[in-house]
Amino acid sequence: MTQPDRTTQPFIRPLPAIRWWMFGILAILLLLGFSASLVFGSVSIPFDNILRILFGAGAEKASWIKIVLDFRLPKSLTAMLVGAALSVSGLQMQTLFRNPLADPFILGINSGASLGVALVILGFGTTGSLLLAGLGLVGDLSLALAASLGAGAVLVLVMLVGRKVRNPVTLLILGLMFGYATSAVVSLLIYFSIPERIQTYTTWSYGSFGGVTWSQLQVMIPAILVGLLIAYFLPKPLNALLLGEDYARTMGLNIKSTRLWILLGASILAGVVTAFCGPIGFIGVAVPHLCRSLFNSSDHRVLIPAVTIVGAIVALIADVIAQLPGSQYILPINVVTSLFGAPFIVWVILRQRRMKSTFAG
Amino acid sequence: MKKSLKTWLFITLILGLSLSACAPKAESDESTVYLPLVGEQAEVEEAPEAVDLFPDKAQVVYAQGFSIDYYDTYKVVTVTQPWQGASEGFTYVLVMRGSQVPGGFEGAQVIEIPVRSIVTMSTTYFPHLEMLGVLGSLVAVDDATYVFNETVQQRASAGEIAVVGGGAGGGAVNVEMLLEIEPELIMTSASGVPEYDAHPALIEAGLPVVINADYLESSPLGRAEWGKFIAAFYNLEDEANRQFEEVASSYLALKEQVSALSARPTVFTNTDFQGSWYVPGGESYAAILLKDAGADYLWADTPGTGANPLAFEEVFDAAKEANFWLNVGFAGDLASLLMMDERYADFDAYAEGRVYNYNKRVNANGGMDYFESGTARPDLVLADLVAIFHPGLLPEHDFYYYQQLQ
Amino acid sequence: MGDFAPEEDEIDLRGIDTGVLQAEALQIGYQQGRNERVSVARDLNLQLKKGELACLVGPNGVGKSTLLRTLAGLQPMLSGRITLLGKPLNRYHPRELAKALSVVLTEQVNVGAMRAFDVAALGRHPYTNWLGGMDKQDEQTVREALAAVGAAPLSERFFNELSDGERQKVMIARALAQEPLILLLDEPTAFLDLPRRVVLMQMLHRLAHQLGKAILVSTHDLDLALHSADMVWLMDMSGNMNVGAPEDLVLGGEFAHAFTQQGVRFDSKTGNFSFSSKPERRIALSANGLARLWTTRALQRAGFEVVPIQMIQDEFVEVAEIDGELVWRLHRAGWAVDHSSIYALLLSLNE
Repeated sequence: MTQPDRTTQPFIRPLPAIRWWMFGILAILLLLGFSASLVFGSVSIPFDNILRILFGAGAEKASWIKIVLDFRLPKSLTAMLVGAALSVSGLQMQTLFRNPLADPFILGINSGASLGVALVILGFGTTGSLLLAGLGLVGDLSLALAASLGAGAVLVLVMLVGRKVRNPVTLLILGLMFGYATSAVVSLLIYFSIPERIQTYTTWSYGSFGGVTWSQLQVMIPAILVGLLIAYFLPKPLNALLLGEDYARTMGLNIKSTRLWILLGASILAGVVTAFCGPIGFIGVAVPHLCRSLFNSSDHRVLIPAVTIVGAIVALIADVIAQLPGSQYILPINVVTSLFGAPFIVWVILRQRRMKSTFAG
Repeated sequence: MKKSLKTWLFITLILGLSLSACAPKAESDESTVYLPLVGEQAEVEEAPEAVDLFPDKAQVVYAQGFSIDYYDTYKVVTVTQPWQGASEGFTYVLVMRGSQVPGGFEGAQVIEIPVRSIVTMSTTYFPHLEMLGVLGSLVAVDDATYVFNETVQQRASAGEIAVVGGGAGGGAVNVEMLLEIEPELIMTSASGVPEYDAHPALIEAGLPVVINADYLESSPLGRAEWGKFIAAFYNLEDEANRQFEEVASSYLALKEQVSALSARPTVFTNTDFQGSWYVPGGESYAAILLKDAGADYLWADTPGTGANPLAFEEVFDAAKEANFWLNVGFAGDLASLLMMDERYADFDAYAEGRVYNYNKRVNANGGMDYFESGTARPDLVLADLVAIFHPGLLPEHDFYYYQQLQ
Repeated sequence: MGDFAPEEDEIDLRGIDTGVLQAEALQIGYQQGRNERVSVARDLNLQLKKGELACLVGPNGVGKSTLLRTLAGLQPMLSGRITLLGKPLNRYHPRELAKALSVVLTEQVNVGAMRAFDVAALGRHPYTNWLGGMDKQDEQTVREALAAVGAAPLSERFFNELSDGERQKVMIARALAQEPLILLLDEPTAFLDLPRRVVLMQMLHRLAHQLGKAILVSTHDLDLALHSADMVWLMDMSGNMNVGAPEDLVLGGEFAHAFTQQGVRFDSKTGNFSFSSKPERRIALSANGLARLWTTRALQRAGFEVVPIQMIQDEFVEVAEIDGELVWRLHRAGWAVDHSSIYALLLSLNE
């Protein structure tokens, strides 16, 4: 057997195929998306006014200042945070479960949140409202609280089970079962409820960025940052997990603790989003695939930052579309993400030649 | 042992047979409401021409959803639009007990009147029952949780009024229980969506059901006038006419007074939920009340009787400087309203404390009397509203349904 | 890249007699349900030594994978002791263990859009920082590992576009990049055709001897094991394990026994399985060298017992070379018919 010829091999940089220039384009798109979501809304506000308001120089109409600063700005921020959070969470779920169809809610997190919200809106109903009003907890804050508690309960369950279970598929199935069980309870609550409340609950389940105020953002921003921070420490273990848990273990990964951190981070992200904005689908599944295609890589050191930005952009675009610029109506976010997103992603993926590799976990 | 059992069975059989033989005939001579002008025995088949069984007829002026035609021994009540978008109405033939059912009304529901027991599937009906003095005939309701009327509440918890479900909330109607109760009338509203409506199952079970479509009326007086609809089943049109006349004249008088005023404060209603604000159309019940009360409802020009979902920011843009804010859901005070969304503080009406809600009369579970007796007493509602918008006109007014949020 | 350098004082290589990976009274198996444990093999005393290529051989289903996975720490043992460099396996921190031992498994790997180089580079996991960044030394190690398996030209290609054999090589390169002392491979030859299998085993043999690694390969390719293994671990269906140099096991009859259990006859002379059970006829053969070997095989497949020429005079086959071509001359009762191929010979014998 001849010795391998080392001298003729050129020195290869570790990540040569990464399209770094993509990030530049994405940054520009992010800025554009952010601006668009500030510009488009039910009320027509001229762009120069918006700029003036942002730089503190007042505007022609007093209500416009409030609208831009208290309505649109928090909405845009929320959209960016939600897009980033869901995408990062979805990416982690797809890798952990080696399943290209995994989304942030695969473990029933949003079912737990839905149950919490359903109990408040449908179950306790007016009694609850009066009760909560007496405690000073009426309205969206109680919803966010209820949703967080529900999501948190499922999260704890998932973590407990995650410690004991060897096989990630088992975890997945248990998560699905949690989801079904809570959905059943929610259905029961709907059945016994009056139409106004059902409508309220249904509206919540359509998802919305517009309901988040600055004071809610004070809670939401740190929570999402924590979730993102956890994820940004995990690209190496996530890469190892691409080979499967057995290989990862033999490469030195502590599977139990890695799994717990991933679950914790991803669930916080998914739970916080659902708590404040309702369940928002599609972004968490699609954006990771979109990024894999765009960057032609499954390396999490590239993907995690990539899905953060692309997720934010996608959510901003969805928000602008939902505003239905020109008409006075607004669409629910979930409708927009599904209707526009699915065909688009199919197109992107089919364009790529490496269809097999893109769909792989 | 066996022998005595046989004996008992035999006796029971004999008793049963004899009792059934003694059952009262369907046609009896009991229902002589009128005095026979002829002076002979009251044969009901052919009533003498000049006799009017129903001297007091309901005149339906404002309500568009029903009409009553009077005949010698029966009335024909037509509900023209039982639900939004219904293609045809319902016809009810109300026949005096003991009278023959007239021919020519195949397929129509026949109700024997005066009704002695009634089941209601909406809280808006028993204020009328109470006003007519026949609340005692209420034997069952769909759901007692949100009922404001104390008598009904008490009797429901004591078990004297049954709870059978089937209304807007509370799941499917308990047909079996109703069959056991054997009410003489079941009054329900309908949505036209079979899954949610109680009446198909009830009709199929052979129970006497009528549809009450009061909520479809956008005119406040029209809604209240459905009291006459209910009265028709009790032969109490006289009373209903009189009461409605009072309510209507009170209402119209106030409306007249207000229309003379030139200053009309601006007002908006309802609240946001997750970025969507359901704003009632300009032709809706709420809008008409506001207009009649002398306010300038900001969306008075939009068509439609329903509510349109608008973006919060659009409502804000239009209503930021509005004078009054009404009908804010379940909020009992300004603080809890603010908890729902901190941006409510930016409305001038909030900052100046001019927020009013119709939850002054509310039961333990949150059921509001505004939605119960309010439909029957638009005069009281209007008075409240006028007192809000034009306090000078009604300086000593005691708020009935509305309260100012503190 | 060279020998694994022991970093801790505890490790004590006490000469070549002690294996770097050692199992004592090991019982392997798995948990079934809450309290049931199924034992696959018990009382195993095994040693894997530096500089040796050992082959774990046995019929399908006997528990080779279970043993391998247990030794790698992927599966818990039922009882016994496993020590690596003198220290019990379960006292190793995962990262330490990763630097001492790496594996190549049978599972299909689906990494998405990653190049072969990146996949092999994953083997540097125990050495890189928290972000997985590699320095020049790491990169060099990976490239050398790829070169060692002959996969250097594949570096820039996407892993999912490679053929099964190419992927196999990259996964071995990954295991090598981990710079372990011990390499455990589970059926690495399964996807490969014969020439590539040979190349692979040769490469593993070389890695063991030249780089001083302790390599354990599980395979049911008996032939290859006999040829390339320094040490054979022979498992039979009853869970018994016989250990020794391949030739020792052949001579000792353990090989034959292990496969006879399956109803197959192992021919100790040829080191192969006999294709047919009992010969029905006898024939004598006069030939030399390769021609003798292959003609014998063909005749045996046709159901003949081949005996020396002296024993039978009336029917025999003579192989001669005429004008540079081989000719099979069938002698029968004084007749002689020439055949230009073994195939033709067999046809005429079967008439």
